[in-house]
Amino acid sequence: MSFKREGDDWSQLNVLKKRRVGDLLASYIPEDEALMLRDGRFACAICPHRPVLDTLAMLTAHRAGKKHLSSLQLFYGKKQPGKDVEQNPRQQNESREETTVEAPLLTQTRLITQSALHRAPHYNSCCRRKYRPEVPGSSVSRSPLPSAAELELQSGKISREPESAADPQAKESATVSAPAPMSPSRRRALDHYLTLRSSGWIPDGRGRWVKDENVEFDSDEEEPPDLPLD
Amino acid sequence: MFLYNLTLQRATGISFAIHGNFSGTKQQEIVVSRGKILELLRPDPNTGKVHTLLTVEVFGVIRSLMAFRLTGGTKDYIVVGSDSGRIVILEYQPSKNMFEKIHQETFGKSGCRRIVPGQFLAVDPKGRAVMISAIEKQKLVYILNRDAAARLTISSPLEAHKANTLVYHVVGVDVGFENPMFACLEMDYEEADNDPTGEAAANTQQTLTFYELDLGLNHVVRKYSEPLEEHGNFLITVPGGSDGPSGVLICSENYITYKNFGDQPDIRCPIPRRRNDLDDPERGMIFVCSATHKTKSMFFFLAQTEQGDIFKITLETDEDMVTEIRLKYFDTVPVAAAMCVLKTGFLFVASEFGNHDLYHTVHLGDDDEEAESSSAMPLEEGDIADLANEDTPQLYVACGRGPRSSLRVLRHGLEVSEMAVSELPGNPNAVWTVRRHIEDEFDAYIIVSFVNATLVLSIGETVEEVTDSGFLGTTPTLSCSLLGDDALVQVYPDGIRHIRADKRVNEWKTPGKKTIVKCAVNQRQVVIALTGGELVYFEMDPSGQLNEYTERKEMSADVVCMSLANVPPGEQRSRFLAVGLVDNTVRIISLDPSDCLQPLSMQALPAQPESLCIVEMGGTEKQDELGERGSIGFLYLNIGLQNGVLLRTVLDPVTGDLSDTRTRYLGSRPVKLFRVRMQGQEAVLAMSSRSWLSYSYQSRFHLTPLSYETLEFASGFASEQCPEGIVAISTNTLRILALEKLGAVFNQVAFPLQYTPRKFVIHPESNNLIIIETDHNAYTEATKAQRKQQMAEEMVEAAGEDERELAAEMAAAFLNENLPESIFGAPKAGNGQWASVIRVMNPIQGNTLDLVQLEQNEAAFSVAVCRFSNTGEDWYVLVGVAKDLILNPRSVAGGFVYTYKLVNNGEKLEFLHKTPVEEVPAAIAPFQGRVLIGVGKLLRVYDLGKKKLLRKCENKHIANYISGIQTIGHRVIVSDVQESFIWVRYKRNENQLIIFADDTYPRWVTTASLLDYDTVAGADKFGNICVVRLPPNTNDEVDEDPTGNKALWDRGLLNGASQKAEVIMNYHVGETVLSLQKTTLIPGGSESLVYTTLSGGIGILVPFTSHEDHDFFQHVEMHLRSEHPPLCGRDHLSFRSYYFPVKNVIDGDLCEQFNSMEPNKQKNVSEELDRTPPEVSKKLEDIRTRYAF
Repeated sequence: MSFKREGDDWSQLNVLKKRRVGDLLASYIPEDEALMLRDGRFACAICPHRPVLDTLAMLTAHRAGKKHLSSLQLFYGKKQPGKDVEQNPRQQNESREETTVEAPLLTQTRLITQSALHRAPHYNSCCRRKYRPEVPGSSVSRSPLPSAAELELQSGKISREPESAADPQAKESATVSAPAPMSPSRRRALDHYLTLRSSGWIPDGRGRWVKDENVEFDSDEEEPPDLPLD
Repeated sequence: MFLYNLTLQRATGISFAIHGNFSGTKQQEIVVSRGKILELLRPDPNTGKVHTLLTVEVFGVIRSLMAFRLTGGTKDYIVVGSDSGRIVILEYQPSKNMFEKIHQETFGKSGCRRIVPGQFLAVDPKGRAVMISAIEKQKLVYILNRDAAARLTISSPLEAHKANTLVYHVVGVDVGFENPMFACLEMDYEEADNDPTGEAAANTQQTLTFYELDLGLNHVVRKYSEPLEEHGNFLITVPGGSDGPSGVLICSENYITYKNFGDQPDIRCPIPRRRNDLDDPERGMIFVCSATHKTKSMFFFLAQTEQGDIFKITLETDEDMVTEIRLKYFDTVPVAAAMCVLKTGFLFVASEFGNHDLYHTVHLGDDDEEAESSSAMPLEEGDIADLANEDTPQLYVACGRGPRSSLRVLRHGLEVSEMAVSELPGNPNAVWTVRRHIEDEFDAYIIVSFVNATLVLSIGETVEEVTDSGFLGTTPTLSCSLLGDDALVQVYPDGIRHIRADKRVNEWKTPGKKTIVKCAVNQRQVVIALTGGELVYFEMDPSGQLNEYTERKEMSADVVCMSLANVPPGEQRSRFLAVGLVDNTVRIISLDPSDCLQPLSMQALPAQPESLCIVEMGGTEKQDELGERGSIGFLYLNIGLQNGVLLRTVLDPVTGDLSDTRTRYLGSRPVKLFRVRMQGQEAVLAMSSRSWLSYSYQSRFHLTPLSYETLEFASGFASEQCPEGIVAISTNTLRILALEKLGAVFNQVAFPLQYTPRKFVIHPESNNLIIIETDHNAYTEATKAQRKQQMAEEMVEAAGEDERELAAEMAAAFLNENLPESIFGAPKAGNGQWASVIRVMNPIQGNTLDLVQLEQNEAAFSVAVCRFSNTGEDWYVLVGVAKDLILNPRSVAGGFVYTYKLVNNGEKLEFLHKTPVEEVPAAIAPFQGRVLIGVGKLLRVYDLGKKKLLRKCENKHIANYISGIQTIGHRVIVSDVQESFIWVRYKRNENQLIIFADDTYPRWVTTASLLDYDTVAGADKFGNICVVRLPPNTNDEVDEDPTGNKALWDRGLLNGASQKAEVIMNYHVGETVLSLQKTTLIPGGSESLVYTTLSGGIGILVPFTSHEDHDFFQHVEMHLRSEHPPLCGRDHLSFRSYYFPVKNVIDGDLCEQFNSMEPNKQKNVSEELDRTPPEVSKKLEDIRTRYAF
């Protein structure tokens, strides 16, 4: 939405122009480096303290900051330890464009216009892995039970809970590098993990499960149920 | 998405009823309003049945209705006060069977507003003026008169406004021929408003104010105002002038008061109360409705209390001064919204809830019920499913209120009442009925044909076999009929037998070895087909002789069926013969002397014809009481095919051309057709694997299946007991059937319930229903028994020593007394008193399998049947119960969720545990092996525990009160009581419920139904239906703030979600919709959205499949809006956009009014659409039959 401007204060106009350009350029923030929150604001997915920023402009400003840049290094260093060539996704993007498209400038302009014409920011708070770029933006499960792939996605997602230490298998699933068909036992283990989580057990980070204090349990329920054998 | 709205069953609740001579004859009729529908009913004094003559949807809210008659006139007009800001005067035109708008005067804004008149109407009893009043301030008086041509005229309005005045009721006072006077119950709140201490508010009294219309000065004066002791709720006019003492009766709490001008002192009489009533004795009693009966010599009033007791009120007068009011108990009937006493001794009671009754008064103080017109109002909950394993789904609806409530099973079909069933010796092939004389009203003989014999039964007091009828009994019969005035004809394979009135018999024998294979007969003509396809034509000459036509006609193929139309009145013969041949054609053959037996036209058919029937249908009533002839209907040729299809074709009465064919599949067997009479018109009974009746009713064609077993042959039947019946054959029985509820789409089976049903669910394995019934202001059975016992003890204690024995006897009688609550009403326990039961019911037999009574003041509000993932295959029933709920000011002591295990194959409830919760659990839904429960505004996931349900997850961000929960995949769609829908995503991984989208409109959602993964249809309490959809780029993977430090400002704009749903469609139905379901109604049909309304209506919204159709109907709607504006003056578009602008819905109810428009207007509209009127009505019929009935 824009209001009709009154007056001729050029400096203000320039500020607005700059902001607009900033907005347009913001589309160059890769999708997995920011999260969109349910209230329409953004969280930086790079910085470990997850700063929440009100607008794209503020996110852009934050991304230019020292703190962010240092955590960027940390982030990519941690994220793809196995990859031999550490690449910023932006560079990756660009290099891909260079190799595949003949007129990079045209493509770039087209991308920018496209994102400028978007009615809503197309950020997705779901962090997804690099090796599955084909997952559409609004991937939703159409069956009442989540599919295995989705389970995997969810459990592999970066979340504030320090879950990974508790369940080595789940962690494994997060870092597994190919969507290979899961073995039944793995799937059962995953399922069990989700069942425990959804019935209010929280992994405490030391390989044990503790009760969520906001959740009710049966009075004789002291330990989480074991993984069902077969 | 574009939708088309169709009403399947109109609202059945009555809001107003008035009676008068609306068609201008001696017969009294009743006009009722059903919210947005105006209906004219005619009670038949002979049969005691009520016939509906006309139903019109007015597309506005009818707020008041009055009948009035000009001085010296014989015809009553209808004055309608509505939300249109206009006063409308209607006249019923019996010749056209329609209401005609005589006057429409605009006075204010549209809508139901406080100060725009329309809420109250009062007419001068002498028919000189009408007052229309608002709830506050404004009153207008119109003077009515007639002009030189005796037409009704209406003056410009005269104002009688008074600011700061609330109006409770207005009536016209009968002052004879003095200046017209109106009495109003008013309250002036000006002082109370200006006094901040509140003292004035406490002292403000209601007043009775008289307004006089000065006809000489042409203005209205506030003549006289008098404060009242008690707060009145309504007024009754007392006849005046030469008929009575004039004045008014004021009905108020516990008292009824007579008031008049002059020296008349006020006469007061308390309202009698029931002795030993379980009701709170402190509670006041009021009259809720009244009816006046006036003849030349006497008058009386009937007034009904809120318990349903009717009292007859008479006034004792001494020289025009009223000395006494007498109240005498008359009867108890269910509480009524309106009553009408008719001159024929009938009392029409339009019930507030439930079925309406017509009572016949035997003598004052004694009456018996004659007819009942069923009403599903209020209809709380509906579900469509094929639980009975029939091929078409049934509608299961919970309706009614309190002790009169019921669960009804609605099936598409006409209700058939079986008058008689008798066994026959062997399996008959065919049956006919004949009259003895053309003037006779009733049939004389039933002729039953067997393989080698014919049986003749005479109809009298009993039906018995006769042998002297003249019919040949030793041969099968092909057809028989009355011929001429008083002769009979029997066609049998070897000849024709003509039986004269004096029992002389003429026989015509077939030539050679030929036999008669088919024949067609009417009153004057006989056509037979001989083997080989030869047609022989006979016609009756003026001397009564049956003569063969000189030529015979050889057909190109074998004849399989034939039909002759009835001879039109005043003519010699029917001009057309329809012949169906084995080569899949139907030919029309002329019987006119100029070109006799010449073929006129031919129609090729997709399959071999089985049966033909030419009928005249679709005309409005042929002759009204004044002897005025109405238009005559069209000739239709009905063709039943061997593949079970019925074709209906228009037969041109001049050229014999066939045009405008409509097709309908009836069933798997070949279709046989029979002509019968229904409500004075011809109709066709079509028999395939199911029997159908094709008839014209209120200028619309209906083709409705009979809810009855398969029949083989039928014929019309008229006798004294059953003037319009059907005699039919089914295997070896002869049945006499009557079809009474013409026009109804559904036939109902009702099973009584104890309290108002609130919700029900279907157990998917046993198909049993689990119903929760809850009543406010009611006692449970246990409390009732306890109170009775207590009262009996008090009775004994209160008695003196010597009366002890008598008192004990009385107490015992009181304890044993058991009045049926469905008539006498349940005792009213007071505010905040609740009673509930949970019932398991078999919906097919209607028997209760299990009944759980909840404690006093526990009110069940939600129910769900579900399985838990941690308990395997067991089914559980969860019931959400509120404890000590007080509605206003709202308070609640808490709630419970009762958990029952369904055992014994879904027939018994086994109590498991109850889980206390903080608020009312108003919604429960199964979700991923657990349950979602809306506890007040909290959305929670519960799992089944050993001692109670275990709360596993919670979301506190729903705005007000969760009224419904729908789930699909990980998505949960929560309907809030006033904030529309909220989309919530459950994250198993984090055990969180996160709101990710919501709606932009504040809808007060009553019910919702998921259409697909992104789309939900909902209805609100103001009578709107909407469909909202999440836009395709919606992302439901949003996170809660990952920093975890949720601050006050960390919410979306105005607490809303960041993503918003889009509105796909909006539509105002006009009645509160209480259930929505996406389903198919006919086997093989497409899906539609079915809704049921509080007032008992059932409708569907169907999607358009092609853009062309949508375009066409949009134009039909547009033209009808301008050419056929609604009757009460409300603009159609603004009515459908009452709360939200109508979007993407075309109103089929308006489009179907095309059929009731005048022919020239029909022509105009269809010309604009580049079509002919039959084409337009065919399209209208097509879209209806594609989805429903």
